[in-house]
Amino acid sequence: MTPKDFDITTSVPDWCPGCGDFGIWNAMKMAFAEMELKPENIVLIAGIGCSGKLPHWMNTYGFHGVHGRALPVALGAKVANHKLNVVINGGDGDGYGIGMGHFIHAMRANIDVTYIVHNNQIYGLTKGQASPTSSFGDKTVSTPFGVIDTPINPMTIALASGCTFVSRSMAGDLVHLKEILMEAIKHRGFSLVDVLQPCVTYNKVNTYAWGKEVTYKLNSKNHDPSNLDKAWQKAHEWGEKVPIGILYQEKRSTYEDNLPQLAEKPLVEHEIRNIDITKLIERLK
Amino acid sequence: MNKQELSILVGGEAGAGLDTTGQILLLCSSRGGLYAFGNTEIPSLIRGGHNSFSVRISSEKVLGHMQQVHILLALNEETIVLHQEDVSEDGAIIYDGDILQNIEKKSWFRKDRQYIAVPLTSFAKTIAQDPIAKNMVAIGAAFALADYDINFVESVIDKHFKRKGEIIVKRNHDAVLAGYGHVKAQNIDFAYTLKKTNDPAKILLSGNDAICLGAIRAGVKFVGEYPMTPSSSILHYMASEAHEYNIAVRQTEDELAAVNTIIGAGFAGVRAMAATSGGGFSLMTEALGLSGMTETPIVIALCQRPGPSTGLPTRSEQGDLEFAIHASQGEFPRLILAPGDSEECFYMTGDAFNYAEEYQTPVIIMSDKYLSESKQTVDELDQQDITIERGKLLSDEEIARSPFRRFAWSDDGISGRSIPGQPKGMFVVASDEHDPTGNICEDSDNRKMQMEKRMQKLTTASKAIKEKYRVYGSERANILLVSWGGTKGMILEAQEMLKSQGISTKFLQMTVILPFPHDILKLLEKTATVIAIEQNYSAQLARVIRRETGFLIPHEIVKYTGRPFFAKELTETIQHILDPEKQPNVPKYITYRERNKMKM
Repeated sequence: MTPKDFDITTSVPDWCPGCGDFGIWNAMKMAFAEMELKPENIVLIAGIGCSGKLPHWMNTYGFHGVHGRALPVALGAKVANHKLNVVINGGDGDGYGIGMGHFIHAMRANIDVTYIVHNNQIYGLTKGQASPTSSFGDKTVSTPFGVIDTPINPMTIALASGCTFVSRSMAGDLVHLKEILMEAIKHRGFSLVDVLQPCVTYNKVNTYAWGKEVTYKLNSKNHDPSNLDKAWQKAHEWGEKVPIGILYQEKRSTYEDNLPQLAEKPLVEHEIRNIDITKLIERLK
Repeated sequence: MNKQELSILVGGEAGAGLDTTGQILLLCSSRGGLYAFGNTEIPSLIRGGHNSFSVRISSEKVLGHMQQVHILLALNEETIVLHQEDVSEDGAIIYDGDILQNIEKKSWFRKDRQYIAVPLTSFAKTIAQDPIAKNMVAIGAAFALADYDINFVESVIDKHFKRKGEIIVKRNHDAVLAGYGHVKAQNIDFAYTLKKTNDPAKILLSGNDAICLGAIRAGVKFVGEYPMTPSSSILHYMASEAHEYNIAVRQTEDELAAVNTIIGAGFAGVRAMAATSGGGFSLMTEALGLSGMTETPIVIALCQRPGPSTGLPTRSEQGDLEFAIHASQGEFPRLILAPGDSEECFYMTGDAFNYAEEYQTPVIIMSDKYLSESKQTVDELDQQDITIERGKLLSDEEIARSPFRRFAWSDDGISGRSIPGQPKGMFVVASDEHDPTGNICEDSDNRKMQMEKRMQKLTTASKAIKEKYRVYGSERANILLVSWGGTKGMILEAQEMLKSQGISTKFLQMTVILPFPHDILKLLEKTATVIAIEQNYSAQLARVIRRETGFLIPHEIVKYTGRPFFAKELTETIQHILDPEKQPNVPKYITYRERNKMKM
């Protein structure tokens, strides 16, 4: 398979030229192709924002829901048919702002899905307001005197919430992002891929050049992703040195593993005609 | 055999075992082939506070609770003070002789009431070795007064407590016998007796039980719910049957997650439902529109309680009808069903799942606390009457026949549907307006077409759904009572009471609110006196009827105390409407309005 197998012919992305979303889109197609995933078994779920449009330009199943609620939709779809590859795309506002509650609970559930957060530290589609990951002091249209909240650290929140695959990559490094995405999809359990991504229109600070300058890659020589304490330290690195790669990975039973109802076959494959409830009625007598 | 009827009310503090008491009284009746109805009235707390459980038993069909009490089982003094007013003159008040002595000196003592002392506390302590077993002693005392078959009661007790082990069975059993023996020895001549029949045991179930049974039969595979009274028992029931019937039941982090999760499950092709009350439904409103826009089938059971805000959390009201009709921004088709008793809850839940898939849109089942949590006997539930209709869910072959477009135009508004995993059925759907393929599209022509396609589904549903309301009573009657939902039983009983006084009525019960049955207009116009009866402030159904048909229902009987109507209250208010000189007053908690005399 090639990345082209996941292209659609009817329309092309309408992101701003140079948007980091293009990088994520391309890396995702590369990962799917290399993993030989069948398009009909992929469900891309998205919230609202520039990132949320991504499923529209992929030859897969897709559900572009409402703002902040992509993870619950993903959980429902995955439990209904756990044979599907469920991948969620959302922005930092969608996942770390309005959808933060779902983010924590989805990690706690350890549902076997991959969550890609397009983290550009700004609200793009609503035209440039501060986001939960905007830095302290950032001046935006909604914070003309600078952001006065401490930014969200998605890595530490993920570690504290029982996430079994905590990773970061960047939209400007296609090869690295593709590799991380493949590991994330292969991982059994909830995988978070936080992607540093420029917003070429509204964020003039966290650019491609910034990403290239501050990031360094985690590898087997400088990090052990099975070590939670080390991961916790790496998760706090931000500013001049930002690690990208797999910060933490753990084997734990998934949400689906813990539902004996799913052991035989996916729920969607059960015959629903003539379910006999005589026993339940008799019990009420 | 003459009609036998007995009304028992047990009262005490929360935590005093009132639910068990009520359940045993109900089971002794339903298993003995008698009809019964049980309703709880509780405050929103776990221990303490006054609770009551009323049980009405009869040899004929019981339609709801009744105000009059024949036997009051007073586990504490407060119960006597609060409820002796409702005890009939030929009734009896059973009280704890160990904690209340010289009751003639109490300020609440009434000469026109019969009080019977039973040593509830000492029997519970010495015989059952458990002070909480006072309630079991009281059950024995009640059945002694009613002269019910005690051997049969014993068998019910033994079965009920079996899973708790022999010791618990024996303690409860002995406590019941002690109460029974104590009262029997006094040879009290009591007006209300009950006789066990040889009829088969009846089915005893609440509205929520019936919704669960209907949902399981209809093939529900995913339930998402956040606990909220009075819908939580749906979560509990479904969770308990999850393994047996292959259903995923998730207690979600909030109602936003609950509804979005079932939308995800519905999108992936399984039947999915959520249950909630008004507060949770408020949180679900945005995603209700998501279901409408993405044409994803979901079912929501909305078990109402009084609002606004937290309101009266454990009481009953029908205050969310207009909210359910209008919830969420924009316009999209939704179906709203309104069962009126447990039996209808069962069958209409089956309908709800079919409609959700046939019309690819949200279906809301309206219930209320009184309907959801009261238990009533039903002769039979015929599971064969719930069949599976999946609408235009396409097979792989059907999808492959022509280029598949998920939201293609169709004259009936319903497009073919694929689910993830089907090779040629891939599509992406947006909560944004979209073109026939599902891609975001803001074009005027497309918007017009998609809006018309979606809204057409309501017309299609309206044609296909044959029964949207039921009419009871005499067709020639010139009084028409109009209502919906849990008020059904009390209205039917009020009709009987009025009939015995020579007043003939008919009752229009709306069971499908959306698609709205416009043909009710004929019925409204041809009846001289039309009266709306609702358990809310504004007579919301009457307002909906006026909006949809232009017909102003002139009389409104409403109650918004959080307590359900009693048939007697309705009867008196209707008599007041018909002849205010003969019946000058309306009951205390009833509000009667004459709409055509008000400035509208």
